[in-house]
Amino acid sequence: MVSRTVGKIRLLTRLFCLVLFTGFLLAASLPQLSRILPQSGVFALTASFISEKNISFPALWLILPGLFILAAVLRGRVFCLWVCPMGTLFSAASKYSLKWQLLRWNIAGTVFWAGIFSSILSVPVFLFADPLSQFTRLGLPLNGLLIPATFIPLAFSLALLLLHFIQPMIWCSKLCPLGYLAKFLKRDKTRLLSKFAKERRELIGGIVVGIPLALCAKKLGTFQRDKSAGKYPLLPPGAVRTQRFSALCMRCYACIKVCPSGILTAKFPHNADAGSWFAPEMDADKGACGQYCVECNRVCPTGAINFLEEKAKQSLQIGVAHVRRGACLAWTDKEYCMVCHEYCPFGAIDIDESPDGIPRPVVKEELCRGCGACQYACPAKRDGKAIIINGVERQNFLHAG
Amino acid sequence: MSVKRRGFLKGSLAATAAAAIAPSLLAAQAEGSKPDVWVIHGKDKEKLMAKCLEIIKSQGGFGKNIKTLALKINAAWAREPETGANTDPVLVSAFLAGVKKMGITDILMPENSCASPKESFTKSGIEEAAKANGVKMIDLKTKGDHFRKVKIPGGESLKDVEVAKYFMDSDAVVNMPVAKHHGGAKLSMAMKNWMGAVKDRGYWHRNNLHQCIADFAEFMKPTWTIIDATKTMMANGPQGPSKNMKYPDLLILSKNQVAADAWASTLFHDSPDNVLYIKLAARKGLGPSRLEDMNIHKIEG
Repeated sequence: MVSRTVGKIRLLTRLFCLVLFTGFLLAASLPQLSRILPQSGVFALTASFISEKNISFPALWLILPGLFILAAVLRGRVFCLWVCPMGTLFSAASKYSLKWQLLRWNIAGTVFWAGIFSSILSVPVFLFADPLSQFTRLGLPLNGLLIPATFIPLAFSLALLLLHFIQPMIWCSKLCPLGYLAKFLKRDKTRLLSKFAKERRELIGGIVVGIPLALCAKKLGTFQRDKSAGKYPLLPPGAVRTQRFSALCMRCYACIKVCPSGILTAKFPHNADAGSWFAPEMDADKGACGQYCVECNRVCPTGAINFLEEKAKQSLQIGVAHVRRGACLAWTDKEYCMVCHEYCPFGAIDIDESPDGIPRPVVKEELCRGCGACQYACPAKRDGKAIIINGVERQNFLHAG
Repeated sequence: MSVKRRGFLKGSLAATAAAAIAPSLLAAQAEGSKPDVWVIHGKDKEKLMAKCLEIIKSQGGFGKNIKTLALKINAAWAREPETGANTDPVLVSAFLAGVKKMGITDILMPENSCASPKESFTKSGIEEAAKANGVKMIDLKTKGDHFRKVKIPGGESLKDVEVAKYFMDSDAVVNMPVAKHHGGAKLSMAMKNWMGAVKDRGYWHRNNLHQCIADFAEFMKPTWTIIDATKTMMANGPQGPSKNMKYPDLLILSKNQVAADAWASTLFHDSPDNVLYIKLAARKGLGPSRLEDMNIHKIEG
């Protein structure tokens, strides 16, 4: 048992961390701060390693997870007891708990290993369950961004919180994969053997649960006709390709929070690959991806959205515009419009003049970055937008002009 | 003091032919002469604007007892000044400084940009130019009560429109656009620049763009129009960048925006009639589209 003074200091530290990290979520002027918390665990870092076999982080961002590991090796769950803001919230709820025993067994180990193995198959369960991503997810509603599709991942965290009013510390002591990792890292020489036997059981449990889970999630598509087959979602610049992005994204929504144009949002599942569900996506009806903007690239804690320099971002093709001639004011209604040509920052709309002198838009695909400026500005109404952006299979750097 | 201009607008709303005509045109007609167009040439932008303000002063300035002035610049695009997509910030700065010297301290600069306001205002250098002269830009995209619905006298395609109220509530209005190529309207100069003062531009695009531009010119008649033709984007407009740039080093000044547009259009095309909205505006009697029908003063600045 900890002494009273230590207990008091710890409580103060936890409250301080909770306030600090909530402040980071609210800090609109320094959005990169919201990255600190998810990055101070280990999962954000390992995500790219597991799925991409590389770690693409500036060395500076290795300090926080390094501290986590050091603290865990020496003292076990230091992070959980002193820092974790989700843990603080859960502890507070547990104080008023009914003290029922819903879950008797500690299955955190199984959750952890199942997460790891499903992540190898690009279904990022452990990123989603990371308490730090759960906390960062709260950033959206805290900033007044109410996006219906994000309510479901949010509800997961809220349900957990409510669960603590029934069974105290159910998450931290029975489920949390990050907490399990901290405990796992603490090497206790005296009980090494018995511990090993337990860990082996958990590892096997993880394989048994995680791999079929991931396979099921990935293969949903083969059981039902996937309407979106052959179509690619429009992903934030630096996401590279759907599978990589959905495997690396922890659904913390820091990017949606920070996006100044509003093009970045989340949608309800619209394809059969469960691994990609609830990942952020671009909707050019809501905004245009700013030519000089690299905000989402700067906040992503896992590297799901690669860091990009402004210049690199400007030459990155994330989608291609397509003119729906039947809906187009110039092609069909013979209006002098060309708003798409006007708004395109990259000169990717060509003018095709009709016999009666009316300019009509044609997309130069080799110049189109897919920023959505045309779709967002398109004034056509009758049959919806007359120019739309389709995502590409893989985002590529264009070398042309 | 805003009463004066409001009164004038009410006159416009009454849509009687006489009242709908700008004071400038009335003056011109009274003298039985053609509208004046000053074409000022020079490489030094500050000197150009000084000359321009000198002419304005000699022609009665912005009117009597002017306290507030609304300036419509073009700061629509996130482009650097050299692109020629926006009004040149050096000209804007020189204008603001000159106007302040004339005793008009309350200057408003509303703009409904096309690209993100933040990026447009900073990249164009216009926000900095405004700040340097103690003037604040008004971002019409921010939430707030910026617009007021007005009827367009004699509007054929544009019958009513929501206009930034600042242009109606100020004692004087100056339009200071940049002359450039435009993919949809062919050229963007003075009359086209007013699209950045209304709420719903999309309507114009859906309902005969050229007619809407001409219709709006019937309603909005600035005290002065100053077209920046120091550099002209000859293709890829309105945003650019374009490799096809020309440097006419000109300011085109007039009280009549149709005349100013018509003269400026000759920097791009053989005849002003090539630009449909100029033709339509002239047909509405808002000003001359033929150079013979204006008094052109070529001046070295």
